[in-house]
Amino acid sequence: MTNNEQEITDLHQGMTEEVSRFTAAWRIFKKNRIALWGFIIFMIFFVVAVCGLILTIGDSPVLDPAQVRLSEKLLGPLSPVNTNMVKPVDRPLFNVYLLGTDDLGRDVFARMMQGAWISLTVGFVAVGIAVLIGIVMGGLAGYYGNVKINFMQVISMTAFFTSLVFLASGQKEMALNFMLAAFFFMILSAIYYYLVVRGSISFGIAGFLFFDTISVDSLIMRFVDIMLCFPSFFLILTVVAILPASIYNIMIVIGLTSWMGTTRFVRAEFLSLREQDFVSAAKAMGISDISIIFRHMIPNAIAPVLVSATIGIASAILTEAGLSFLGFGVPPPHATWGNILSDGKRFIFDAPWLTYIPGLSILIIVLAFNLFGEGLRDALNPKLRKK
Amino acid sequence: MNNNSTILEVRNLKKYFPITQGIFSRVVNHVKAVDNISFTIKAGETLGLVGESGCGKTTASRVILRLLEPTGGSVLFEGKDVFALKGEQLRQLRKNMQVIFQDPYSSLNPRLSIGSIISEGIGAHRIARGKEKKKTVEELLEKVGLSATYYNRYPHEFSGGQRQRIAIARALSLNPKLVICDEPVSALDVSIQAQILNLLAQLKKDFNLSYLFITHDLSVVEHVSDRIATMYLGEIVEIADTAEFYASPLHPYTVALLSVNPSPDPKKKKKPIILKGDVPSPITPPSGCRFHTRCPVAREICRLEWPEPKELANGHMVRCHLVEISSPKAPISLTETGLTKTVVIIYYIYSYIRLELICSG
Repeated sequence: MTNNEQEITDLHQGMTEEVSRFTAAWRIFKKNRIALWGFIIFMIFFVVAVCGLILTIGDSPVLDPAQVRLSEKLLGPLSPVNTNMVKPVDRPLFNVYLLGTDDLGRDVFARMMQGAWISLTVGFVAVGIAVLIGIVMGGLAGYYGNVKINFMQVISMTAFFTSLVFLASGQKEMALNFMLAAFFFMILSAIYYYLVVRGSISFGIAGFLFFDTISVDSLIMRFVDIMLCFPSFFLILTVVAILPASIYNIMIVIGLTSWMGTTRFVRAEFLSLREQDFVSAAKAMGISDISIIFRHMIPNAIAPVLVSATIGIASAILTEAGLSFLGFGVPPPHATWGNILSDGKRFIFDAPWLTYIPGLSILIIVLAFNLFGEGLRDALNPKLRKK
Repeated sequence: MNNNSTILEVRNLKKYFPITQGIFSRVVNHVKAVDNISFTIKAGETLGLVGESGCGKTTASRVILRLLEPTGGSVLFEGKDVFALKGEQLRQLRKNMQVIFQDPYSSLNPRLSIGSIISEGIGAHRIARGKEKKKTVEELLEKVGLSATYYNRYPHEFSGGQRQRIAIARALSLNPKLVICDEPVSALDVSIQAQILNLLAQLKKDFNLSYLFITHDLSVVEHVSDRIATMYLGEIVEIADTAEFYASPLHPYTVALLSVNPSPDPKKKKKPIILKGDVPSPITPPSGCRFHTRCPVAREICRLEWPEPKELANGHMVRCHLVEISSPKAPISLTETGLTKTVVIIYYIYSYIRLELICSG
């Protein structure tokens, strides 16, 4: 190293302060005003939703969303309580209906608070499930895509998963049958392997079932294509019609029908990362596959997944609201933004706040999540740093 | 190999990429990226591998490193068959063979700090941990001409040359015996190229390394190599000591390559030999000698028969029908009988005959 170079190095040390990755990302994010607003609204929504859970839960909650006061129906926002008609226990907080009342005299503010928590959990749990499945499936297709498997393995795998589905829906006998079928095919596969691959017996045309002809990549991606063929909203409607109505079923069903986008993202990222020299260098150093996937591939592939996840939360909230609006969502006594909207539409001329309040809330939250997601995408891109 | 100082021996290495078609991925053909190459690298030696783009240099290096599975042949690293190893044994072997890539921008993970990039292998092989690990990394950084304070920086903060230094530090972190340099300087500008080449030469001395130096730049390879191999369409057509390679190339392809290499001496007049046509497809390589479609002196025999490698007494290997060794075929017996001359007749480019006496005594 020449003196000159050393001087330049020394100069650099004085100039650059050490910045952690999080701080660097935050600095970029801060500059994006709209995304910052999205983030702020997201944080407010988060706090409101948590408060909503705390204030509306239990036998005598601070805000009772289920309290019917027939004398107080369809009051506008900020109406005071008629103290002559309502018992002190039944009165809302501060004796005022912040967002008015609905056709049964229930406090819309309390119902909105309860609905906020539902929306938040539906959004996060559904997207959590979708992202988890998406990363696993996309990672398998992207990293182990060239591995070939045979028909027998596909059949036994399908039988295994079908058995799991039956087990989940409580049909133990069918689950057992399919599980046995899965084991049967696996054993058949193993016997064939020892006879033909190790030995030298030929099975003629039947052997075709045992040839390793299907790549993991095409198996997974064709399954993704099949899932994408169904209009997901109608698929959810069908499944929800069969399953008992409960908030958890809705979360799981939304999660199970929205992982395809993430899978495609992760697979695409993995395919391009797999060819990068730093992955080859890690392999040449004898780093294990698990370590390569978790240290090198996922951190580089996660940015678009995070972005699609934040946008996915918005669409999950929207789906849940849509389902509740159609009456397939959360069962009635429990308030969600969708069923407040659904109940309110009958009184749109008499009590417009019953539609505007949940409608605007959904709009703002969905918009905020989308803007936040886009800001996040820019902030997580390391090439944009230091500018 | 009789000589225990041989560090890497490649024997008849082949790598074919299948071309598949249809939903069941039926194999219809193969791209013969590397076809039957053999060479050896001795401890402390630098073997240069030259050839034009797409001739299989990089594929060969990746197969040797076992980043790609071979189609045939064997690679012996210090006598151990690289392709027969599995699991932990392979991991141990990987410590001894490291690689430096061409593109310094894609060879460093943008999400990891310099410290974790260089220390990753040290951690995975449990060479050092904690403070000791950090110290090792800082020493390596200084060794490759960077400041130890770069430990917590990220790759995007560095220039191409600095990144290449980081990649070199990473390759050295496991204390390898052989480093495969896959065009390490072709992505850098000329002034930085010189720095990196000098650094590689310095490190070779300090760490007692051997290099397989892949490049398409003939002036670079002259500077660094002890021996040079020329590759054409998946085959090695000529191997010779560097001085010999430049002084008396035998294969018409090597001659053509050297004739277009700019010389620093303006008085030296060279007639450039411009090869006609393109490199043939490696899917269906030409029959006989692979170079015959572009060879300016090709004969009938070149089209029909595949040339066997011919070796001169001084280890100069060439694969060409037109090179004839007139003295007894086995050069070893020559030296035993006390004869020190091998006569080589080449029917040469632009159809004149050159007679060459090669003295090896």
